[in-house]
Amino acid sequence: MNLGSEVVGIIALCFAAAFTQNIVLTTFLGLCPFLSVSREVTTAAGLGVAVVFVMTFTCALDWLAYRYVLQPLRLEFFRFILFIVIIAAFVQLVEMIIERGSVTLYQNLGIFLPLITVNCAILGASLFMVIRGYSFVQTVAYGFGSGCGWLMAIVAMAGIRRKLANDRIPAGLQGPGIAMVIAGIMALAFIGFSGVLQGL
Amino acid sequence: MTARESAARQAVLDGLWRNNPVFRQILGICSALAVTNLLLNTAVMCAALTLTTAMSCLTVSLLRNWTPRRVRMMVQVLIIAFYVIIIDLVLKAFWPAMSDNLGPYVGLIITNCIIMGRCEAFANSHRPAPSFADGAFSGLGYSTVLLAVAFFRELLGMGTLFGIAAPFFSTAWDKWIIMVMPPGAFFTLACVVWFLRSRQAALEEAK
Amino acid sequence: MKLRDRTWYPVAYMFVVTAAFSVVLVGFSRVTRERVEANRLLAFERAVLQASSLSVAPDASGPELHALYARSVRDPDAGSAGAYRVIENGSLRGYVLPFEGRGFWDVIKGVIGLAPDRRTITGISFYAQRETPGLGAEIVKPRFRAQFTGGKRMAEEGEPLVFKLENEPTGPTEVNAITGASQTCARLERIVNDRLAEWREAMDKAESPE
Repeated sequence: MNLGSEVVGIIALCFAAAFTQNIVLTTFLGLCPFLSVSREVTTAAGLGVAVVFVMTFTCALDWLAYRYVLQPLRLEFFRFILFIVIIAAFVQLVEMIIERGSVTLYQNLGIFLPLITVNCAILGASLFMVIRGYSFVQTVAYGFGSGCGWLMAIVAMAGIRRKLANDRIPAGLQGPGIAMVIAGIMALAFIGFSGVLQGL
Repeated sequence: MTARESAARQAVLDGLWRNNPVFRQILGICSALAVTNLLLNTAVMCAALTLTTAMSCLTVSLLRNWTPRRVRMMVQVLIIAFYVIIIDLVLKAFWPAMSDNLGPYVGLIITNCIIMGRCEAFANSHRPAPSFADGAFSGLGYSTVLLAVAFFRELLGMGTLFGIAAPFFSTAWDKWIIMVMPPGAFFTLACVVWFLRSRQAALEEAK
Repeated sequence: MKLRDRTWYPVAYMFVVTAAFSVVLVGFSRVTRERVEANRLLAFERAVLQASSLSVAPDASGPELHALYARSVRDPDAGSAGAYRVIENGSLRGYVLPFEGRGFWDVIKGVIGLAPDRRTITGISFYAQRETPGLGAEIVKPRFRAQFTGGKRMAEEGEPLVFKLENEPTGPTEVNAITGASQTCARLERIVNDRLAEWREAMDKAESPE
């Protein structure tokens, strides 16, 4: 496989992870914070950027751990525990660095980091990466693409909910109900991207 | 942490926990929605969820007098992961087709907020038998919601129930393909939530 | 001071608990590992037998399938360009060619059976796929697979097989796709055709010196 088609393959993978197989709208991962932190666009954007950062790095770290620790020892089933430990440790480390480094960055991003540890999308992305048997470069592209997809979805959701804030919504649908309806319509829209990657 | 930061953190955590039980149920089942396009897959997933919740609560309760406060959360995650891995291994060995269908979602039971919530709120401070019952009933509670979603998705989307053709829906009904795809899960869940919420409000008004 | 509050206690506790659970898990994993491997092998063997022209009872048990496979299927050798040979009573009954590639959701792995004339298709079967149930996953159902046992042929030149829309009439080198599963079928068409074309060329080159 020559370099050109490999690069195209990686870009296609990244695009698919962000659009056609958006991690929250097609694989239902990361719905908890997606529903609860999507009231304001700025908060949503902050959490989203944090997710992109954490997802890309933890996918890469998890790939290395799986390939060089778990597989040689034939302990593949341990990945559930090891990945969670790696994610928690990484988030802790980043929070410490940000707290010492920049006050503004910490205020805008740092407070979201503990929430990310329970975000199933982070663990889910790593588990999918294992199932699909991606290479290292593919994993990084997949992690980055999925994170960006999550960011796009949550910012869009926040924008839409902001617009709906003054509309009359039936009592039973307020809160999680209408959020689900919006998510469903967004999922429908994202399906439109499916044909873009034909042949890739 | 400044007052502003702790207020922001509190506001976000409130969004996760303070809302009524139905909302908490919805949050807990988010990743299980992926398998709700078939009733059989959902039933197996619900069994796995209920078993994990009940056994984890039981184990947390048994160990509660020895577990130091500082490592409580880590021990809970470890216990939940233990049961999930066993279920995953059993499925892979004895029902590989189902294991393929459920994919990584069995492993994602570990991050399910409801299991952690029950362990933290109840099992930590109660005896084993009541903890087990509490875990089991919580599991059955959100299993009902998941099965309701799966019921409508499979019936309207494929005309079958548990793979068996249903009388009207597999013949004359023009199948709603959308129910088989992800948006269908969101819309069905929205309707189920609407119904439950309205019932809850009506019950409260009657009091 | 209670035992729980000693400084070294949390570390020791975590260590003991993790060790205890790990031992159980490793034991469990060892016990189930053999079964997992056996399942995987059986799925592949079943697919190969279904795609060949041999008759396989739908309710055949694992051991029966395994015995039939051991009797009738030979691993790929230098002259078969990656295909498995199917032997019955000492003579060649056909070939079974494995293929795999990226489907819509995940990798699709399957096998396609060919008659000794290297053109007629005897069947198709899948042993790994994760497409949408009810849509893309319908490719494993008899409704789709039966098309490949009715005497379809690979074309001599160009695309070996063409996938047409459902309900369109099909010639001997064409099959119908599944409505609603256009992505899965398009990718499957690509995967199967690439593999068939590659094999056709390799086998023609290998046989031509005769």
